[in-house]
Amino acid sequence: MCLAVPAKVVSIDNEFITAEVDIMGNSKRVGIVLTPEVEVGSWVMVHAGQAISVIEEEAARLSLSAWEELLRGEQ
Amino acid sequence: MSNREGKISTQRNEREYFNLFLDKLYQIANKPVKLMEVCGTHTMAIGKAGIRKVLPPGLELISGPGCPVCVTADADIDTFIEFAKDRQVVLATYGDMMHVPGSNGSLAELKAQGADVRVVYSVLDALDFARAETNREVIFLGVGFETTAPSTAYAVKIARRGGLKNFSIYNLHKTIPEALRALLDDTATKIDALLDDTATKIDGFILPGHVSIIIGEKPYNFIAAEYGIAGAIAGFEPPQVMAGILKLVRDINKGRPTISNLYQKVVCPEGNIHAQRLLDEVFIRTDAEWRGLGIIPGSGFRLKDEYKCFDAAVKFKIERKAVNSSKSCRCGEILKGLIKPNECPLFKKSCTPERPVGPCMVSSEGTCAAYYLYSSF
Repeated sequence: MCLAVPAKVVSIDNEFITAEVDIMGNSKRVGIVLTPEVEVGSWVMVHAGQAISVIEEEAARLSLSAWEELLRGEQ
Repeated sequence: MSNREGKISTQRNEREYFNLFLDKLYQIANKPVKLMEVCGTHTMAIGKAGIRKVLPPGLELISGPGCPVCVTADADIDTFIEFAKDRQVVLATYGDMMHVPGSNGSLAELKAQGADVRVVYSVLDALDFARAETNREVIFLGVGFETTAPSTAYAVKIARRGGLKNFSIYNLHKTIPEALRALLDDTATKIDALLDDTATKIDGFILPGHVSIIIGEKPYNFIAAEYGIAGAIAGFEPPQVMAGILKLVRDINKGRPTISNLYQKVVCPEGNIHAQRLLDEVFIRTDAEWRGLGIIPGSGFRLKDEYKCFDAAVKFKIERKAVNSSKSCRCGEILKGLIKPNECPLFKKSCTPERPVGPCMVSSEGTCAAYYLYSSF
Protein backbone atom coordinates (compact mmCIF):
# COMPACT_ATOMS: atom_id res chain seq x y z
CA MET A 1 0.00 0.00 0.00
CA CYS A 2 2.98 2.29 0.47
CA LEU A 3 3.74 2.11 -3.22
CA ALA A 4 4.77 5.44 -4.74
CA VAL A 5 5.58 6.17 -8.35
CA PRO A 6 7.71 8.90 -9.93
CA ALA A 7 5.89 11.50 -12.03
CA LYS A 8 6.78 14.70 -13.84
CA VAL A 9 4.77 17.86 -13.18
CA VAL A 10 3.20 19.21 -16.39
CA SER A 11 1.03 22.04 -15.02
CA ILE A 12 -0.05 23.43 -11.67
CA ASP A 13 -3.50 24.55 -10.52
CA ASN A 14 -2.97 26.82 -7.51
CA GLU A 15 -6.70 27.24 -6.80
CA PHE A 16 -7.31 23.54 -6.16
CA ILE A 17 -3.72 22.81 -5.03
CA THR A 18 -3.34 20.12 -7.66
CA ALA A 19 -1.00 19.40 -10.53
CA GLU A 20 -1.30 17.54 -13.78
CA VAL A 21 1.51 15.01 -13.86
CA ASP A 22 2.89 12.57 -16.37
CA ILE A 23 3.28 9.06 -14.96
CA MET A 24 5.05 6.91 -17.51
CA GLY A 25 3.12 8.52 -20.34
CA ASN A 26 -0.23 8.71 -18.53
CA SER A 27 -1.71 12.04 -17.54
CA LYS A 28 -3.07 12.24 -13.99
CA ARG A 29 -4.25 15.00 -11.64
CA VAL A 30 -2.70 14.75 -8.19
CA GLY A 31 -2.76 16.82 -5.00
CA ILE A 32 0.29 18.94 -4.16
CA VAL A 33 -0.70 20.08 -0.68
CA LEU A 34 2.21 18.08 0.78
CA THR A 35 4.69 19.46 -1.76
CA PRO A 36 3.78 23.15 -2.26
CA GLU A 37 7.30 23.84 -3.55
CA VAL A 38 6.78 21.93 -6.82
CA GLU A 39 7.27 23.66 -10.13
CA VAL A 40 6.43 22.71 -13.68
CA GLY A 41 9.11 20.24 -14.71
CA SER A 42 9.70 18.94 -11.14
CA TRP A 43 9.84 15.21 -10.53
CA VAL A 44 7.69 14.01 -7.64
CA MET A 45 6.82 10.75 -5.94
CA VAL A 46 3.06 10.15 -6.06
CA HIS A 47 1.24 8.04 -3.50
CA ALA A 48 -2.56 7.60 -3.33
CA GLY A 49 -3.26 10.69 -5.39
CA GLN A 50 -0.88 13.03 -3.58
CA ALA A 51 2.65 14.09 -4.46
CA ILE A 52 4.48 13.25 -1.22
CA SER A 53 8.05 14.17 -2.12
CA VAL A 54 9.96 16.21 -4.67
CA ILE A 55 12.93 14.41 -6.19
CA GLU A 56 15.78 16.89 -6.04
CA GLU A 57 18.56 16.39 -8.53
CA GLU A 58 21.08 17.26 -5.85
CA ALA A 59 19.63 14.62 -3.51
CA ALA A 60 19.72 12.04 -6.29
CA ARG A 61 23.40 12.87 -6.78
CA LEU A 62 23.96 12.48 -3.02
CA SER A 63 22.33 9.04 -3.15
CA LEU A 64 24.75 7.96 -5.84
CA SER A 65 27.78 9.24 -3.95
CA ALA A 66 26.49 7.33 -0.90
CA TRP A 67 26.46 4.19 -3.07
CA GLU A 68 30.03 4.81 -4.17
CA GLU A 69 31.09 5.30 -0.54
CA LEU A 70 29.31 2.09 0.39
CA LEU A 71 31.30 0.23 -2.25
CA ARG A 72 34.54 1.72 -1.00
CA GLY A 73 33.64 0.64 2.53
CA GLU A 74 33.47 4.22 3.81
CA GLN A 75 29.91 3.86 5.07
CA MET B 1 22.07 14.95 -16.94
CA SER B 2 18.95 13.53 -15.38
CA ASN B 3 16.18 11.31 -16.62
CA ARG B 4 13.14 9.56 -15.12
CA GLU B 5 13.03 9.69 -11.30
CA GLY B 6 15.83 12.20 -11.39
CA LYS B 7 18.37 9.47 -12.03
CA ILE B 8 21.80 10.83 -12.71
CA SER B 9 23.68 9.31 -15.58
CA THR B 10 26.91 7.75 -14.38
CA GLN B 11 29.29 5.18 -15.67
CA ARG B 12 27.61 2.41 -13.71
CA ASN B 13 24.07 1.23 -14.32
CA GLU B 14 21.71 -0.19 -11.72
CA ARG B 15 22.47 -3.81 -12.56
CA GLU B 16 26.18 -3.17 -12.05
CA TYR B 17 25.53 -1.56 -8.69
CA PHE B 18 23.38 -4.53 -7.66
CA ASN B 19 26.14 -6.98 -8.56
CA LEU B 20 28.86 -4.90 -6.91
CA PHE B 21 26.85 -4.64 -3.67
CA LEU B 22 26.23 -8.38 -3.75
CA ASP B 23 29.95 -9.11 -4.29
CA LYS B 24 30.82 -6.93 -1.30
CA LEU B 25 28.19 -8.67 0.75
CA TYR B 26 29.77 -12.07 0.03
CA GLN B 27 33.14 -10.65 1.07
CA ILE B 28 31.95 -9.40 4.45
CA ALA B 29 29.17 -11.81 5.48
CA ASN B 30 30.83 -13.90 8.18
CA LYS B 31 28.08 -14.94 10.59
CA PRO B 32 24.34 -15.66 10.65
CA VAL B 33 22.35 -12.43 10.39
CA LYS B 34 18.60 -11.91 10.44
CA LEU B 35 17.27 -8.75 8.83
CA MET B 36 13.62 -7.80 8.80
CA GLU B 37 12.15 -5.93 5.87
CA VAL B 38 9.45 -3.97 7.65
CA CYS B 39 7.45 -2.85 4.65
CA GLY B 40 5.14 -5.01 2.54
CA THR B 41 6.20 -3.14 -0.58
CA HIS B 42 9.78 -4.24 0.20
CA THR B 43 8.58 -7.82 0.66
CA MET B 44 7.09 -7.76 -2.84
CA ALA B 45 10.12 -6.03 -4.36
CA ILE B 46 12.49 -8.56 -2.73
CA GLY B 47 10.36 -11.48 -3.94
CA LYS B 48 10.05 -10.11 -7.46
CA ALA B 49 13.79 -9.51 -7.80
CA GLY B 50 14.62 -12.92 -6.29
CA ILE B 51 16.93 -11.30 -3.74
CA ARG B 52 16.51 -14.01 -1.08
CA LYS B 53 17.83 -16.60 -3.49
CA VAL B 54 21.12 -14.83 -4.17
CA LEU B 55 22.11 -13.81 -0.63
CA PRO B 56 25.12 -15.41 1.12
CA PRO B 57 24.29 -18.44 3.30
CA GLY B 58 23.31 -17.44 6.83
CA LEU B 59 21.92 -14.07 5.77
CA GLU B 60 18.19 -14.29 6.23
CA LEU B 61 15.47 -11.79 5.35
CA ILE B 62 12.28 -12.05 7.34
CA SER B 63 9.11 -10.12 6.59
CA GLY B 64 7.62 -7.74 9.11
CA PRO B 65 4.34 -6.04 10.01
CA GLY B 66 4.38 -3.36 7.29
CA CYS B 67 1.26 -4.33 5.38
CA PRO B 68 -1.68 -2.18 6.51
CA VAL B 69 -4.32 -4.60 5.32
CA CYS B 70 -2.61 -7.51 7.09
CA VAL B 71 -2.37 -5.79 10.47
CA THR B 72 -6.01 -4.66 10.50
CA ALA B 73 -7.70 -6.34 13.46
CA ASP B 74 -10.66 -8.66 12.96
CA ALA B 75 -12.85 -6.38 15.09
CA ASP B 76 -12.16 -3.49 12.70
CA ILE B 77 -12.86 -5.60 9.62
CA ASP B 78 -16.23 -6.63 11.05
CA THR B 79 -17.01 -3.00 11.94
CA PHE B 80 -16.44 -1.57 8.48
CA ILE B 81 -18.38 -4.43 6.93
CA GLU B 82 -21.30 -3.41 9.17
CA PHE B 83 -21.05 0.15 7.80
CA ALA B 84 -21.41 -1.12 4.25
CA LYS B 85 -24.62 -2.98 5.08
CA ASP B 86 -26.44 0.33 5.52
CA ARG B 87 -28.13 1.05 2.17
CA GLN B 88 -27.74 4.77 2.76
CA VAL B 89 -23.97 4.38 2.83
CA VAL B 90 -21.38 4.57 0.07
CA LEU B 91 -18.25 2.87 1.44
CA ALA B 92 -15.14 4.10 -0.35
CA THR B 93 -11.96 2.09 0.07
CA TYR B 94 -8.57 1.35 -1.43
CA GLY B 95 -8.83 -1.86 -3.46
CA ASP B 96 -6.72 -3.94 -1.07
CA MET B 97 -9.49 -4.07 1.52
CA MET B 98 -12.18 -5.50 -0.77
CA HIS B 99 -11.41 -9.18 -0.25
CA VAL B 100 -10.35 -9.18 3.39
CA PRO B 101 -12.52 -11.80 5.08
CA GLY B 102 -14.40 -10.75 8.20
CA SER B 103 -16.38 -13.06 10.47
CA ASN B 104 -19.22 -13.00 7.95
CA GLY B 105 -17.89 -12.32 4.49
CA SER B 106 -15.96 -9.53 2.79
CA LEU B 107 -16.73 -6.16 1.22
CA ALA B 108 -16.54 -7.78 -2.22
CA GLU B 109 -19.25 -10.25 -1.23
CA LEU B 110 -21.41 -7.47 0.18
CA LYS B 111 -20.99 -5.50 -3.02
CA ALA B 112 -22.14 -8.53 -5.02
CA GLN B 113 -25.27 -8.49 -2.85
CA GLY B 114 -25.97 -4.87 -3.73
CA ALA B 115 -24.06 -2.82 -1.16
CA ASP B 116 -22.52 0.37 -2.54
CA VAL B 117 -18.80 -0.29 -2.03
CA ARG B 118 -16.50 1.68 -4.31
CA VAL B 119 -12.78 1.30 -4.87
CA VAL B 120 -10.94 4.60 -4.98
CA TYR B 121 -7.40 5.55 -5.90
CA SER B 122 -7.40 8.58 -3.63
CA VAL B 123 -9.44 9.81 -0.66
CA LEU B 124 -10.22 12.87 -2.78
CA ASP B 125 -12.36 10.62 -5.02
CA ALA B 126 -14.46 9.83 -1.94
CA LEU B 127 -14.85 13.55 -1.26
CA ASP B 128 -16.13 13.97 -4.82
CA PHE B 129 -18.78 11.29 -4.21
CA ALA B 130 -19.96 13.16 -1.11
CA ARG B 131 -20.19 16.45 -3.00
CA ALA B 132 -22.07 14.86 -5.92
CA GLU B 133 -24.46 12.66 -3.91
CA THR B 134 -25.62 14.78 -1.01
CA ASN B 135 -28.45 12.36 -0.16
CA ARG B 136 -25.96 9.56 0.57
CA GLU B 137 -23.49 9.07 3.43
CA VAL B 138 -19.96 8.54 2.15
CA ILE B 139 -17.60 6.69 4.51
CA PHE B 140 -13.93 6.43 3.60
CA LEU B 141 -11.83 3.61 5.05
CA GLY B 142 -8.68 5.30 6.28
CA VAL B 143 -6.17 2.47 5.99
CA GLY B 144 -2.42 2.78 5.70
CA PHE B 145 0.67 3.97 7.53
CA GLU B 146 2.22 7.44 7.73
CA THR B 147 2.53 7.52 3.93
CA THR B 148 -1.23 7.48 3.49
CA ALA B 149 -2.53 9.13 6.66
CA PRO B 150 -1.73 12.77 5.62
CA SER B 151 -4.03 12.48 2.58
CA THR B 152 -6.88 11.38 4.83
CA ALA B 153 -6.14 14.27 7.21
CA TYR B 154 -6.24 16.67 4.27
CA ALA B 155 -9.58 15.29 3.05
CA VAL B 156 -11.13 15.77 6.50
CA LYS B 157 -9.80 19.31 6.64
CA ILE B 158 -11.28 20.09 3.21
CA ALA B 159 -14.60 18.47 4.18
CA ARG B 160 -14.81 20.67 7.28
CA ARG B 161 -13.88 23.79 5.35
CA GLY B 162 -16.51 23.00 2.69
CA GLY B 163 -19.21 22.16 5.27
CA LEU B 164 -19.64 18.62 3.89
CA LYS B 165 -22.07 16.91 6.24
CA ASN B 166 -22.29 13.53 4.49
CA PHE B 167 -18.61 12.57 4.60
CA SER B 168 -16.82 10.63 7.33
CA ILE B 169 -13.87 8.32 7.80
CA TYR B 170 -13.28 5.08 9.67
CA ASN B 171 -9.79 5.67 10.89
CA LEU B 172 -7.48 2.66 10.84
CA HIS B 173 -4.25 4.50 10.09
CA LYS B 174 -1.25 3.24 12.03
CA THR B 175 2.35 4.23 12.69
CA ILE B 176 5.46 2.16 12.04
CA PRO B 177 8.03 3.19 14.73
CA GLU B 178 5.66 2.25 17.57
CA ALA B 179 5.09 -1.15 15.95
CA LEU B 180 8.84 -1.73 15.73
CA ARG B 181 9.21 -0.94 19.43
CA ALA B 182 6.39 -3.37 20.25
CA LEU B 183 8.02 -6.02 18.10
CA LEU B 184 11.41 -5.54 19.76
CA ASP B 185 9.86 -5.61 23.25
CA ASP B 186 7.88 -8.72 22.38
CA THR B 187 10.97 -10.56 21.17
CA ALA B 188 13.12 -9.33 24.08
CA THR B 189 10.53 -10.47 26.61
CA LYS B 190 10.40 -13.94 25.12
CA ILE B 191 14.17 -14.31 24.98
CA ASP B 192 14.67 -12.92 28.51
CA ALA B 193 12.05 -15.15 30.02
CA LEU B 194 13.30 -18.14 28.04
CA LEU B 195 9.69 -18.82 27.32
CA ASP B 196 10.39 -19.24 23.70
CA ASP B 197 13.90 -20.01 22.61
CA THR B 198 12.79 -19.89 19.01
CA ALA B 199 11.93 -16.20 19.32
CA THR B 200 13.45 -14.44 16.37
CA LYS B 201 16.30 -12.15 17.28
CA ILE B 202 16.33 -9.41 14.68
CA ASP B 203 19.79 -8.02 13.94
CA GLY B 204 18.70 -5.16 11.69
CA PHE B 205 15.75 -3.51 9.98
CA ILE B 206 15.36 -2.55 6.33
CA LEU B 207 13.23 0.52 7.05
CA PRO B 208 10.30 1.56 4.86
CA GLY B 209 11.30 4.15 2.26
CA HIS B 210 7.98 5.82 1.66
CA VAL B 211 6.86 5.98 5.30
CA SER B 212 10.22 7.66 5.85
CA ILE B 213 9.44 10.33 3.25
CA ILE B 214 6.80 11.54 5.71
CA ILE B 215 8.43 10.92 9.11
CA GLY B 216 12.13 11.37 8.27
CA GLU B 217 14.99 9.66 10.08
CA LYS B 218 14.64 10.72 13.72
CA PRO B 219 11.66 8.55 14.80
CA TYR B 220 13.81 5.45 14.22
CA ASN B 221 16.75 6.55 16.37
CA PHE B 222 15.54 4.61 19.41
CA ILE B 223 16.10 1.35 17.54
CA ALA B 224 19.87 1.86 17.59
CA ALA B 225 20.07 3.94 20.77
CA GLU B 226 17.86 1.83 23.04
CA TYR B 227 17.93 -1.63 21.48
CA GLY B 228 21.37 -1.62 19.84
CA ILE B 229 19.92 -2.69 16.50
CA ALA B 230 20.82 -1.29 13.09
CA GLY B 231 18.35 0.23 10.63
CA ALA B 232 18.65 1.39 7.04
CA ILE B 233 16.05 3.41 5.15
CA ALA B 234 16.02 1.93 1.67
CA GLY B 235 14.29 2.38 -1.66
CA PHE B 236 12.48 -0.34 -3.57
CA GLU B 237 14.57 -1.00 -6.68
CA PRO B 238 16.84 -4.07 -6.42
CA PRO B 239 20.13 -2.12 -6.05
CA GLN B 240 18.50 0.16 -3.46
CA VAL B 241 17.43 -2.84 -1.38
CA MET B 242 20.86 -4.42 -1.79
CA ALA B 243 22.57 -1.20 -0.68
CA GLY B 244 20.45 -1.29 2.48
CA ILE B 245 21.38 -4.92 3.18
CA LEU B 246 25.09 -4.25 2.65
CA LYS B 247 25.03 -1.24 4.97
CA LEU B 248 23.22 -3.20 7.68
CA VAL B 249 25.61 -6.16 7.55
CA ARG B 250 28.59 -3.82 7.65
CA ASP B 251 27.16 -2.00 10.71
CA ILE B 252 26.37 -5.30 12.42
CA ASN B 253 29.88 -6.63 11.78
CA LYS B 254 31.39 -3.48 13.24
CA GLY B 255 29.18 -3.77 16.30
CA ARG B 256 28.15 -0.15 15.79
CA PRO B 257 24.44 -0.10 15.00
CA THR B 258 23.25 3.12 13.40
CA ILE B 259 20.19 4.36 11.57
CA SER B 260 21.21 5.26 8.04
CA ASN B 261 19.37 6.77 5.12
CA LEU B 262 20.15 5.19 1.77
CA TYR B 263 17.10 6.70 0.08
CA GLN B 264 18.22 10.31 0.24
CA LYS B 265 16.86 10.84 -3.24
CA VAL B 266 13.39 11.26 -1.76
CA VAL B 267 13.80 10.98 2.04
CA CYS B 268 15.15 14.06 3.77
CA PRO B 269 16.30 13.81 7.41
CA GLU B 270 13.39 15.82 8.83
CA GLY B 271 10.73 14.15 6.65
CA ASN B 272 7.84 16.00 5.02
CA ILE B 273 7.03 18.89 7.36
CA HIS B 274 3.77 19.79 5.54
CA ALA B 275 2.49 16.25 6.01
CA GLN B 276 3.52 16.17 9.67
CA ARG B 277 1.72 19.48 10.31
CA LEU B 278 -1.45 18.18 8.67
CA LEU B 279 -1.36 15.06 10.83
CA ASP B 280 -0.90 17.17 13.98
CA GLU B 281 -3.66 19.56 12.96
CA VAL B 282 -6.34 16.92 12.37
CA PHE B 283 -5.37 13.88 14.45
CA ILE B 284 -4.15 13.02 17.91
CA ARG B 285 -2.27 9.84 18.70
CA THR B 286 -4.15 6.97 20.24
CA ASP B 287 -3.61 3.30 21.01
CA ALA B 288 -4.44 0.94 18.17
CA GLU B 289 -5.01 -2.77 17.84
CA TRP B 290 -2.79 -4.66 15.39
CA ARG B 291 -3.29 -8.20 14.24
CA GLY B 292 -0.61 -10.35 15.88
CA LEU B 293 0.88 -7.52 17.92
CA GLY B 294 -2.16 -6.60 20.01
CA ILE B 295 -2.80 -3.09 21.29
CA ILE B 296 0.23 -0.86 20.71
CA PRO B 297 0.33 2.41 22.67
CA GLY B 298 0.32 5.55 20.53
CA SER B 299 0.34 3.66 17.24
CA GLY B 300 -2.95 4.96 15.88
CA PHE B 301 -4.62 8.26 15.02
CA ARG B 302 -7.92 9.66 16.31
CA LEU B 303 -9.68 12.73 14.95
CA LYS B 304 -9.38 15.78 17.18
CA ASP B 305 -12.58 16.98 18.87
CA GLU B 306 -13.19 19.74 16.32
CA TYR B 307 -13.21 17.08 13.56
CA LYS B 308 -15.20 14.48 15.50
CA CYS B 309 -18.30 14.87 13.31
CA PHE B 310 -16.24 13.25 10.52
CA ASP B 311 -15.59 10.12 12.56
CA ALA B 312 -17.79 7.33 11.17
CA ALA B 313 -17.46 5.37 14.43
CA VAL B 314 -19.02 8.30 16.33
CA LYS B 315 -21.54 9.23 13.65
CA PHE B 316 -22.98 5.76 13.05
CA LYS B 317 -22.60 4.40 16.58
CA ILE B 318 -21.64 0.94 15.40
CA GLU B 319 -20.21 -0.99 18.30
CA ARG B 320 -16.75 -2.43 17.69
CA LYS B 321 -17.00 -5.96 19.02
CA ALA B 322 -14.05 -8.10 20.02
CA VAL B 323 -13.69 -11.14 17.77
CA ASN B 324 -12.63 -14.56 18.99
CA SER B 325 -11.23 -15.97 15.82
CA SER B 326 -11.20 -19.73 15.70
CA LYS B 327 -9.40 -19.75 12.36
CA SER B 328 -6.18 -21.71 12.33
CA CYS B 329 -4.68 -18.92 10.22
CA ARG B 330 -1.23 -17.95 11.58
CA CYS B 331 -1.08 -14.46 10.11
CA GLY B 332 -0.29 -12.97 13.52
CA GLU B 333 2.93 -14.96 13.92
CA ILE B 334 3.92 -14.30 10.32
CA LEU B 335 3.56 -10.54 10.89
CA LYS B 336 6.01 -10.78 13.80
CA GLY B 337 8.49 -12.74 11.71
CA LEU B 338 8.14 -15.77 14.01
CA ILE B 339 7.21 -18.19 11.27
CA LYS B 340 7.35 -18.29 7.47
CA PRO B 341 4.14 -18.69 5.47
CA ASN B 342 4.96 -22.28 4.52
CA GLU B 343 4.90 -23.18 8.22
CA CYS B 344 1.17 -22.37 8.33
CA PRO B 345 -0.94 -25.50 7.72
CA LEU B 346 -3.35 -23.55 5.53
CA PHE B 347 -0.74 -22.02 3.18
CA LYS B 348 -1.30 -23.03 -0.46
CA LYS B 349 -3.91 -25.54 0.68
CA SER B 350 -7.13 -23.97 1.93
CA CYS B 351 -5.57 -20.47 1.79
CA THR B 352 -4.72 -19.11 -1.67
CA PRO B 353 -4.96 -15.64 -3.26
CA GLU B 354 -8.24 -16.75 -4.91
CA ARG B 355 -9.72 -17.92 -1.59
CA PRO B 356 -7.71 -16.23 1.16
CA VAL B 357 -8.35 -17.21 4.77
CA GLY B 358 -6.25 -14.46 6.33
CA PRO B 359 -5.34 -10.92 5.30
CA CYS B 360 -1.66 -11.78 4.72
CA MET B 361 -2.84 -13.71 1.67
CA VAL B 362 -5.33 -11.03 0.56
CA SER B 363 -3.20 -7.97 0.21
CA SER B 364 -1.02 -7.81 -2.88
CA GLU B 365 1.85 -6.99 -0.54
CA GLY B 366 1.00 -9.45 2.22
CA THR B 367 3.79 -11.84 3.18
CA CYS B 368 1.75 -14.94 2.31
CA ALA B 369 0.72 -13.50 -1.05
CA ALA B 370 4.36 -12.66 -1.81
CA TYR B 371 5.53 -16.15 -0.84
CA TYR B 372 2.72 -17.66 -2.90
CA LEU B 373 3.55 -15.61 -5.96
CA TYR B 374 7.30 -16.01 -5.73
CA SER B 375 7.15 -19.54 -4.37
CA SER B 376 10.77 -20.41 -4.85
CA PHE B 377 11.60 -17.96 -2.01
